[in-house]
Amino acid sequence: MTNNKRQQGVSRRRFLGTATAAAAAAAIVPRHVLGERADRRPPSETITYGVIGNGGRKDSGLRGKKDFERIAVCDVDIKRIGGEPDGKTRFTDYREMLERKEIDVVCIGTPPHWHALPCLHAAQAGKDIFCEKPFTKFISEGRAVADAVKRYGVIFQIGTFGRFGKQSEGDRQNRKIIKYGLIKDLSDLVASGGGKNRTGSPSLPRVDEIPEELDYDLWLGPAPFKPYNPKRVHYSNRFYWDYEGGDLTNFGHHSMDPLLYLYGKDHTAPVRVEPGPAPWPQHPDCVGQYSWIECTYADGMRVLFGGGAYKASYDRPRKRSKVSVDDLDEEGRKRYDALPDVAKLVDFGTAVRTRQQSGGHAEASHRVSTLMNLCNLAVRLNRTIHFDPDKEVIVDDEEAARFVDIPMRAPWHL
Amino acid sequence: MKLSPSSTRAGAPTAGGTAAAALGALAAGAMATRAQAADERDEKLAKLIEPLPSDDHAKVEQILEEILKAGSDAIAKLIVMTGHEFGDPEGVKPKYAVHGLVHHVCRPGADGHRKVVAETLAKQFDYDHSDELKAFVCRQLQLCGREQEILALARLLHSERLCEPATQAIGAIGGEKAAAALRGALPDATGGRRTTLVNALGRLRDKAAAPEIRKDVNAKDADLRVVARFALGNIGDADSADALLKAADANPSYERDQATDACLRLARGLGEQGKAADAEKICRKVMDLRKAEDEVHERCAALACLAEVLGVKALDDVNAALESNDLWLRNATARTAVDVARAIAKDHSAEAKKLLEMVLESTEEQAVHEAAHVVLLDLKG
Repeated sequence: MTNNKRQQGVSRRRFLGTATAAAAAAAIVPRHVLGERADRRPPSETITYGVIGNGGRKDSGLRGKKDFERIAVCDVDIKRIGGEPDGKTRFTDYREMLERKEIDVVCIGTPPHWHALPCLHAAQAGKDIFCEKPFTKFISEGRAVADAVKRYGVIFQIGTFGRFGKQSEGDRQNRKIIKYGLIKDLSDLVASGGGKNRTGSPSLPRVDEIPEELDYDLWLGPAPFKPYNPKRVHYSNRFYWDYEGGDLTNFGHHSMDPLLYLYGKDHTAPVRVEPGPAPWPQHPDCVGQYSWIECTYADGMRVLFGGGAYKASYDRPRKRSKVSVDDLDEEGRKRYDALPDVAKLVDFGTAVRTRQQSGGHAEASHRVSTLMNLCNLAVRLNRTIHFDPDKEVIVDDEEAARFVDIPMRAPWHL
Repeated sequence: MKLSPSSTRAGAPTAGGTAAAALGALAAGAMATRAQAADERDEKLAKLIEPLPSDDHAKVEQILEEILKAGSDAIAKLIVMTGHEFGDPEGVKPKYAVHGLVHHVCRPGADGHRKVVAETLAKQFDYDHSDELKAFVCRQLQLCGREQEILALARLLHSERLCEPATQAIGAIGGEKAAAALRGALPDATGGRRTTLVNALGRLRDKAAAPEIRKDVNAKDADLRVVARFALGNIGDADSADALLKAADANPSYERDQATDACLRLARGLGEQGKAADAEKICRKVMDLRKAEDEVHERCAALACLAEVLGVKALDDVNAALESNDLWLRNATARTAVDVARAIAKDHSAEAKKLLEMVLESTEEQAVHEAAHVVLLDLKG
């Protein structure tokens, strides 16, 4: 671990030692102000990172950013790391890469079935994390990562940035009012997003010749063993349930992340998720199509996600898509003024240097993934799902409940 | 592809002895009749499921209800029609049908049908089907199986190929019978199968498995070793504390990180069992082992665990961290301290208030300030 991340703060006691007692007594300066001057990593110092998953996305979230320097790469396909692993700059097993002290950050560009575990292990190794979306394959993965990020004090940023653009005064009012429940009934409020609706091939016969450069067992990792077929790897895996949730989670994370931020839902999840009509049943291996999914939160607000050729018309009433202080009564206005203002979002580089939570943090990413995974589940099961956002369990549906925490292939576990 | 549970390849279990001759003739006749009937069902079933998948959900429901009405023989036929080879193109429609049927009978209020489907799935393990077909069946039972199917699944735990899907299905069903089935297979298991079983028992937090799993805490195989330590930590096995702490007292490595995490899992587990003093010892030992500057993240995790277990009794440690010169420790602790304040607010409002004031002073992180102010507002009422 680079020492430059362990900047020692100037203690209050040290500060007072350089000033007169009288002057000091008159001007006690809070620790964090002292820290602001002394604790930050010098802007000139580079943050080093290693890539886990050097395929389509690679390190596109960090590449070219002036603060960051790539010093290692890991992929289970040695063609993607430019040759045989050397234990220093090229790896096929990310666990070995995590042991390199010189790496400050990991940039995770693997498929989603391989997001949670590298995040967890990176946190345990004291590395900050940049992780591509969609975040996780199932709900308890996101909870495990959010908890680990908090416990180990590492910084996390998801690979989508729309929320950074939701900073107008209207946006901030909207977020503050909804986040703090200043309007009790929001059943006429609907926010919506959408995406593409592609699917894969449901027939993936075994192909005996696994490419020499690919460690298929490690590629599968926690996913169930299924015989090799080239469509299981290198992007087309997107359309198979074992690895991720298709376009719904892929585009869903992009469109829902800024939405959930805008509507103050970074720390909660819907209580009810209802699927609209789409071709059914879904194939057990291959992701199918969806039309619209209506997600209702405890305050009545609805989030609607829809897409593609099967998007049926959603004809339920939606009166408004935003609220403002003008919608508050007197009591609500008083409470609005008393509550703290919405914190500004911190970009990843600043977050790493100042050890503050990044704008696209793990808890928020987990809640977006929860929303999208519940959407997929409702579509797969073709029925309304009821969810407890505090206990994070599915209610009154034993089969659906089994999708919240899915057993991993050994030796992997959360 | 025409397949039947009564075909030579997937033949029914046979009897032995002299009585078998008579029975055999009868059986042969019965099998032939079954084969004829099965062929008819092949055509009929194939035609019935041809429209799947469909966005006419009423039509889909009608198809599934017809299959259910045709009984377990029809369901069994469909299962075999999914194909012995994975990805068989002719198995695509049958897979839609079987999988759709599983979801259909698992909907709340349909338990009677669910039992029939689950039982029929489990019965397929009696036949000489391919491993890939049986793996597919395991995946369906992972969703619709219950206690009653555990015994059938457990018979697959000896198989190198099928141990994993069977274990995952049993693990998803959960409960004491599931744990007992996995535990029962453990003593004779070696290699990958042993790792699979230990992993699952750890996930289920099966205390009764701890004595057997302790044998693997320093196994030669690295995967098994790491998984055993995870399992014992997750189970909350107090008798493993020394072994886990010893594993955490090693040179820096991925494996040491896992051992440390196992120690903290153990501490949390002991906290849940009301053994706060034992949990505290483990947390403090970990903090003691991690004094280096670049190990601050583990000190943070140990402190967070301590606070979780001790609550208000951890405030001295939390406050000390909030006053630390180390920015990582300070900011990380500020985030968890807000949770601590929230947790103790009801019974210790004065301490919670003081803690939050410390938090506001110790960090410039606006998100933490926002969260802390909200809790303070609630405290003020």
